[in-house]
Amino acid sequence: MCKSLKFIFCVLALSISLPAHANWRDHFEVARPQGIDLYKSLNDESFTFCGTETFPDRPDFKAYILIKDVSAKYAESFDRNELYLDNVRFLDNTFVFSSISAYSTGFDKTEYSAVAVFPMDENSVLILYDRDLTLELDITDPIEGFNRVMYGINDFMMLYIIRPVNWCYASICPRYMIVGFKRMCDNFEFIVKGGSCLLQARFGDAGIVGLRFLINITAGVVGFYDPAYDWFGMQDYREDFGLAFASWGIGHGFYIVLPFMGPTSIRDAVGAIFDYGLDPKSYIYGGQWFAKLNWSALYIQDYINMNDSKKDPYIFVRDTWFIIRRIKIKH
Amino acid sequence: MVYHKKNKNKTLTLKRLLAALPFLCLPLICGAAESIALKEIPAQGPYIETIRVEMFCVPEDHSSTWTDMSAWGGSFYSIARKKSVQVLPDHPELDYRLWLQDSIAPLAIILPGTGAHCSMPAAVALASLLYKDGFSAIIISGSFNYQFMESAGAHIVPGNPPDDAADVYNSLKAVIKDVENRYGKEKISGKSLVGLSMGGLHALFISSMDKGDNAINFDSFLAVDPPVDLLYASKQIDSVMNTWRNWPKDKINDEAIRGGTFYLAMLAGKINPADPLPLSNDEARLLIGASFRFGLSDTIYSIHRRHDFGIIKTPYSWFSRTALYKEIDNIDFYGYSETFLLQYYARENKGLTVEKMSGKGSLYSIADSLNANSKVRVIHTLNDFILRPEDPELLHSIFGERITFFDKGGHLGNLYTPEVQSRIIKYMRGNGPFGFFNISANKAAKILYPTPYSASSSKTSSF
Repeated sequence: MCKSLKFIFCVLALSISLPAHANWRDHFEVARPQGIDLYKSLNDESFTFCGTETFPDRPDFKAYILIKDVSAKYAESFDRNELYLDNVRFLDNTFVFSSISAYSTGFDKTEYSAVAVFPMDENSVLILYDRDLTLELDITDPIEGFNRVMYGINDFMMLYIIRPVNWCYASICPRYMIVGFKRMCDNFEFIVKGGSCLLQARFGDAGIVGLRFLINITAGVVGFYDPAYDWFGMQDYREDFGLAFASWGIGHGFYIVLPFMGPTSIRDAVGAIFDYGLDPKSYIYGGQWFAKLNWSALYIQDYINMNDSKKDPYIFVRDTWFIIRRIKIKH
Repeated sequence: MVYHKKNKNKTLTLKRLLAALPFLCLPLICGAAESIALKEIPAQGPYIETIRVEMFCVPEDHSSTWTDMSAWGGSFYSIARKKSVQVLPDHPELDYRLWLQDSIAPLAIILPGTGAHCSMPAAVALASLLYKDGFSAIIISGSFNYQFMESAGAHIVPGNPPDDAADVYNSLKAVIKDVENRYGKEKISGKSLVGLSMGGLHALFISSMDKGDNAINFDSFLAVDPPVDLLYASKQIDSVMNTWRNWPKDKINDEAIRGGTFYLAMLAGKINPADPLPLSNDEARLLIGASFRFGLSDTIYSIHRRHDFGIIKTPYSWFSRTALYKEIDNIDFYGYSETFLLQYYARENKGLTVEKMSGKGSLYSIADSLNANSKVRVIHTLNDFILRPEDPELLHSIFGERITFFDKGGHLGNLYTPEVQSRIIKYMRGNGPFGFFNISANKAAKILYPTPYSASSSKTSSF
């Protein structure tokens, strides 16, 4: 959006012209042939909300118009959400209104029939763009069609292949073994975690990752237990190469859903190639498959609950994945 | 400087006194209504306190030998019977969750809040609380949830409480009949209805329609933090949902990351409930707003997919819906009422306005019925942000001693506290030594799960 739009000088000719018998809602609809009017209750009581406007020549743009510090006389009469602007035009970065009408009972046509002029400058008018939270958070999904197909395939596999297999596995294998195997799988990823820490110049953390591996592989029975944390309080670092690339300032590219892998981004998908190649489990027959099966035995129920509760879980998964990923990068 | 500091302290003290004034005056205002101070919730304002609703959940039982995925069950959630029943012909079946006691027990039916699914953590935690107390429990999805709308909503657009409550009531009849057919009528010794938030309002409306030959005949009704004036409540929620709109981009990203970090820490049980939440008001509003936003988007998408009112202009396909959601996400609750709800109902009722609809859907529209019905009870929070300042007094005039106010917790944020939980149980049991239901400790089923997250039992660590 053009920056100059942010500050607009607007002169508003005020004339209260609505006939008392008019159905204001009909009138309102005529004034807005397209778009949805969104009344906003803003916290700042010094603003009086007038309405939103869309423009035929700027379909991507919607203005939320608020008048600041309306004089006391008008403020009493201006009931929020009961004002609208007539014949709004967007000319040379300026809003031009032919009139403003109100429907509050306090607004009497006779009393306010005189034309009044509200001088309004950049401090008086606040323009909010038709903002999209996903764009504000840099969530980009240009290949949504492909991603939705992949999401559908993954979802089908989760529900109809992995879940039944998991049910059998979890019914045979008790919790402490599943948790132990998960710790073991995590421990094997020390090269990935350590490598990522090194690439981020976090040498101390890389050292802790190495120490954790050594302690757990010996005293922790190949990582089945976690004495490094239990005895020495050494935290695990959930690092990967995608995070290392992010620390170098590489953007995420865009959102992509891959079969078996689930939600990721272009940057993280490239990072995952390194993760896979440096993970010892990749060189053990069925190692990665077992790790995924074991992991999902602990968390698949959460996935199923989330999936059941949403009409369109794809959007929720995508947005949540982006936020969580950014939290990891930030920390 | 000293002078200023003193003045600042005086101002602070004055502010605290003013903040506490409604609560201090409540006994005077409310007369017989009970008002309880919750000491374990640090006063942080309604929005931050609302976030504490996430503390009311059934934690994963790490002491269990088996995980939730096993055939042997793990947590309380995993022992639920997941059933479905046909409510309306030519509609999909309505899902519900059932926890049935082994012995004869009263049945508690739980209605979750706006847009919530029957797997909503707070509703499941409430089910576990009641199950622990000897109730069998059922949860169905809220009237704004796609699952309910598509399977049990006779009206395609939810949001008019009298009609929504009628739909919920109709679906409850089908669900109870299904349970009785499956497990026998003799397993149920009584029926009780409890609703959270919007579910609470529906429970109150149902209390006024549960009469006649074809009635379910509930033994008690309990509404927890129900909205009183829907128009006010929706504007309050809209203000929360739109919090981010006048923030610069950097602030949106920072607040989202900080809020998300806190939320993940809380889900991981790393937040001590006794401590103040390390969260700003803006972060709390962003989190609450995001929760309502996801719910409302789902509701609108479900309506639009089944019936095009001409309100949403963006074309969409199965493969491409991002642009559609961009348009949907610009509709808040008031916008939804102005467009979908009004357009749907104005076909039958010319001259209808949101204000008129809100009046008919207000709790006050059934005040006489609620006042006369001794089975109805209400739990509310004084600093609930969907409550108007004058509402506590008005609520007391309707319910008298059948309402309890808590001083803190925002909207549903105090459910995890033992005081609120014991009050819920007391109200659900009803009057008399054993209440409506003859529940004794011996008859209550063996507890298979830990108590819900509470200040006394939770693991704690610094954030």
